[in-house]
Amino acid sequence: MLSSKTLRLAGLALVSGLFVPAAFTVACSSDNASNPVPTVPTYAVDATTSPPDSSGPQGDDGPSTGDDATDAADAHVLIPEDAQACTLARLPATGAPASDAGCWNAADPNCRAQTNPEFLNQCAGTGVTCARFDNARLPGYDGGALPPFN
Amino acid sequence: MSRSFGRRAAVGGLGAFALLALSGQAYAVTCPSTGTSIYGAGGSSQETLIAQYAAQLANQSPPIWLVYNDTGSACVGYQDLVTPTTINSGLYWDTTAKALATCTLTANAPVTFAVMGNSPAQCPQTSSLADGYGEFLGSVQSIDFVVPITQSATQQSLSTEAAYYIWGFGAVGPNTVAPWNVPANIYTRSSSSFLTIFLGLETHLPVARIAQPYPPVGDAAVPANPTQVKTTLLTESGLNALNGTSGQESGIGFLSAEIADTYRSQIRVLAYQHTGQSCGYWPDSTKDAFDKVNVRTGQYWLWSPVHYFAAVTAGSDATKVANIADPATKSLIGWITGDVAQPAGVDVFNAEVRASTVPKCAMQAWRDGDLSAPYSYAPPASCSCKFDFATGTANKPATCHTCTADGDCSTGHCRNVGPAVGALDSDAGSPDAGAGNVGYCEVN
Repeated sequence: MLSSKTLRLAGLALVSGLFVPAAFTVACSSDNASNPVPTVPTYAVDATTSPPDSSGPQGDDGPSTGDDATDAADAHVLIPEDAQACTLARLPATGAPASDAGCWNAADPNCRAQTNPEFLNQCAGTGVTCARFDNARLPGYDGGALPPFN
Repeated sequence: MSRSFGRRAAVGGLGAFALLALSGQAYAVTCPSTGTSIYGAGGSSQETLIAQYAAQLANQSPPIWLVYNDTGSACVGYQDLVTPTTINSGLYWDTTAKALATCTLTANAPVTFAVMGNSPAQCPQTSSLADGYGEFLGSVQSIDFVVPITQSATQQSLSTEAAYYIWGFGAVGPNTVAPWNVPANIYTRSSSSFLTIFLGLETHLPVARIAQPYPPVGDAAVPANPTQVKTTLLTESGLNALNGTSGQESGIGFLSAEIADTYRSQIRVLAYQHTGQSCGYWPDSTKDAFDKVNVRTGQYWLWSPVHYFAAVTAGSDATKVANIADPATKSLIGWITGDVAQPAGVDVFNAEVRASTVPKCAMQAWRDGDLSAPYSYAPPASCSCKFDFATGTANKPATCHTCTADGDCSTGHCRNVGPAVGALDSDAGSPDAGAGNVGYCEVN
């Protein structure tokens, strides 16, 4: 007994081969200009216990200021210095209720991430560790456009 | 019983399925005919979640059998529903073996629900949800990059740009990223897989490029991408086979957390560093945790709610669960979304957590489209504290503790009073059975 799905899958297998070459013509992304230039030295920190830069919120490509983050004893992962360049949006505001949501859902709008960089580089929650991938490992990549694949 | 016991039980179920699948369904049995059957189709990434639902429903009286066909992939399953299509076999929950197994139907049956991780607009030759069908969102799953467990611990993280290099060039030519430099040890999925679609969205690589089969197709004008195109379970078993071999350093693939977390003893999840992110984060607080903290806050980028689809009655509002045409499917999706009260023995929260997904009520960020920008989200009835207990979150907020009344909580919200979530560790399919009724102090 052949189900209608069996018959359709066979057709799909034939058709899919026709679309592969055409798909190669799609351009790759060049939206990488903001990728941070990696730093070489690494040292042990814990994303939880390391205090963020106290100079205020900054973008994802801001300069490293985390020299005070080198002494964490319970580090799990080696990460570079500028991984501490997190935004302050995640930090509990003074007087904000401590909750599951931290300050995330507090009434104070200054306490919430508003933009993608703020979401992505928010100061990590308690106990959170992170590990930086050094894009300098990628052949020929300088933080700009990615190489075309054809 | 411990949380780890529950996870091992889930592994056992999937492992049994894997054996049956690899044997070419030689031992398939006839699908159960007692009670009610609901026929679905969709991706293999959600198999663990489907298994959890199927286990609970199979233990209902009379039983409800979920028969799930994932012989295609995410978009193929969706097309099975909207074409519409019949199936003659699928996975069901074997209550004796306590595992998924393949069964054959005595007569072809129409698919009444579909499951995938992406929206229909991402599927080939599909621009939007088909007329007459509803789309309903469930718990959140993450997409994880994974390597053999024995791969050097120096590899902890992957960036968007690195993913572009690895799956765009397939370790062929000068754009190879060490140590992932052996094409045959780079695993990928089919072009209609939700995981491939999301990797394409993320890297801007065409899905056909990511899903290039091995051996190369021989297009002289285009460098070949001779990676391994495998299903989720074969991706996992392929990476596991590299453990302890010379190929362990070069193995890499991507899986849903439902699958990746099930096999943590064999594969290791990498942290992920989205473009513009200054550090890579695991879906969980650490590489060894299961708390999905970074998914819940939006700091881990690669996540999506599970999408469920079903036909609605002609001319009705397709956004309402109440309008789903098939009564049994309406109940199933209604239990998942919370629009229909769960019967005794059905615990959607339990199923979702056991499957390494995050109920929406435990999320603190949300997004309205496939990998679209996240925004802060406050669930109307949070279950974050309960989720923290269920997943053994090491750093629960001080306000998160058990309770029996609102007055016990500084937040004023003692919710979900009932059996303790320690019952999550019971065998899949059995109802909660805690030592006593407790609630959890939630933020709202």
